[in-house]
Amino acid sequence: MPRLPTSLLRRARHEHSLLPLLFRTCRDLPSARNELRWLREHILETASPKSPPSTRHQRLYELCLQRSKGKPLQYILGSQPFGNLEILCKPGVLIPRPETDLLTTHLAQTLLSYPPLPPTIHILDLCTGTGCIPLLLHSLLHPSIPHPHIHIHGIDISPLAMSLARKNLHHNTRHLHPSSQISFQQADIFDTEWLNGIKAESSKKWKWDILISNPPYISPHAFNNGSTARSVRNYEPKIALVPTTPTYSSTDAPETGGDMFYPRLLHIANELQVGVFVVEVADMAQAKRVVGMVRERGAWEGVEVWRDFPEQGGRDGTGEVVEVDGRDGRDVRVRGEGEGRAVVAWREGWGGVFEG
Amino acid sequence: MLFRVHRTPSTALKHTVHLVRKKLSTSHVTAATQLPRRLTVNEKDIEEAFLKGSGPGGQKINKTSSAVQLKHVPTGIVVKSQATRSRSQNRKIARQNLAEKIEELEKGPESRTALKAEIKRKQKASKSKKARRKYRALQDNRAVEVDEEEGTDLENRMEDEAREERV
Repeated sequence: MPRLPTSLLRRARHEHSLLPLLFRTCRDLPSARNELRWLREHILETASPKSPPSTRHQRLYELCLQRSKGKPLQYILGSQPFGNLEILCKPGVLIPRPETDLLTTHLAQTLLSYPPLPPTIHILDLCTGTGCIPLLLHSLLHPSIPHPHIHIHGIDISPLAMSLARKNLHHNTRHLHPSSQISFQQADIFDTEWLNGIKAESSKKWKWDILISNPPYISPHAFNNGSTARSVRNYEPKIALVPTTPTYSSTDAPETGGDMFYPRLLHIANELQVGVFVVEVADMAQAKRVVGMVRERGAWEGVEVWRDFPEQGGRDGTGEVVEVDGRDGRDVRVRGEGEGRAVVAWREGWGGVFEG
Repeated sequence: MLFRVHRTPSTALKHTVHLVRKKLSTSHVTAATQLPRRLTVNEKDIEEAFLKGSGPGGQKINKTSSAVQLKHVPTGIVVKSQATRSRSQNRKIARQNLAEKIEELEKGPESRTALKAEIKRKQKASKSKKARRKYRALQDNRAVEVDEEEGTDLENRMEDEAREERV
């Protein structure tokens, strides 16, 4: 980590005595200023009216000290904005990422741009964490669907995550439709019994339309080589970041060590005969490998890759770029600008939604 | 801007300070002046620049970049907002700022911004006159604690308050 110039620190200190503390994690003045402002606002909002300014200043110092050690702001403030929602956060559960926000929003917009949407949609979100994806999806879809029956089910291996997800459901009620069917279940997606159970649930009457997941995708190598931020490494749950599965032990393969969940997710998608498959990935390289896995199975009509900002760039601003050199040498369509962020696959019948 | 005012129990003044709109008698611009409608900008004319730092993102980073930058293509005006942690909220704020700037450009002294500034100026002048009167009287009669954390003069904070008043 490069040293901060002394002159900058001096300037910061002159502005506010606690700014240099925040600098340790923020690394630039505008960010540090913003975080100081948000921490102060938080203290004022949560302080008891009787507390004297000295208590509040002490509290501000404490929070800045925590932040200086790398504790995520979202854990300190207890929340993270996600779309129009406020997602409650706590240590032990992965903090929602802006990239996930963007891809979820883009998915919703893509679905909505292809009317008419059926009144009943079944969405399964695996490794749901705070439940941010189901909640955001629901909030974005229901306003455009008359008499919506949007059934969204979120799964996570962590009981702590599921309890937080239920709190988030409650916390964001006003963004949800009264008829919303949003549920959370603690389960291990590698468990055969769980898969049989959820397969039995969907029956001849209905099938899961969409399977979406933001699974742990960081390879052990990438976790340790400095590309994963200190704050993430030291404060967020590793189980949500680096995949470990019952059948594979941590592999040293520098690149593919983060791929372990995708075969299982594709297997589940197959078993459940899901129409649309959306997974978040670490980067373009991983996206291409996942595209390869999708094509290998032969069950999917189409597949494409979304970058961080799926609506930006491309010819004529349409956000379309066709990129050569998918894993098996064929082209794969890539939409948007930024890093490779999501792989989207669809079965026959859904092509109109994505290719239109 | 929030602040706590500490009063000795014996003061007669209430805890919360009420912002009183004084009727302005001079000048054509008063608080009752109807501001022109807000300008609505054509979505097609707005370009959003997605500000992303270099390096990895996704699960590897937990720093939120909520900054939004909008450009009005016809005029070239660029507005950036990072007021809140929410990108969608910042987008709204940036849109409003953009609309205001475009209107300023187009309408000059008759724009909402110019008229608002004039109204505020008059209210502040009247408000600070009143505040000075009020606190002169206070200081004559009683001691008033100064908020240690803010460290600013009570009177100045009253004036700041007047400045904050929404139109």
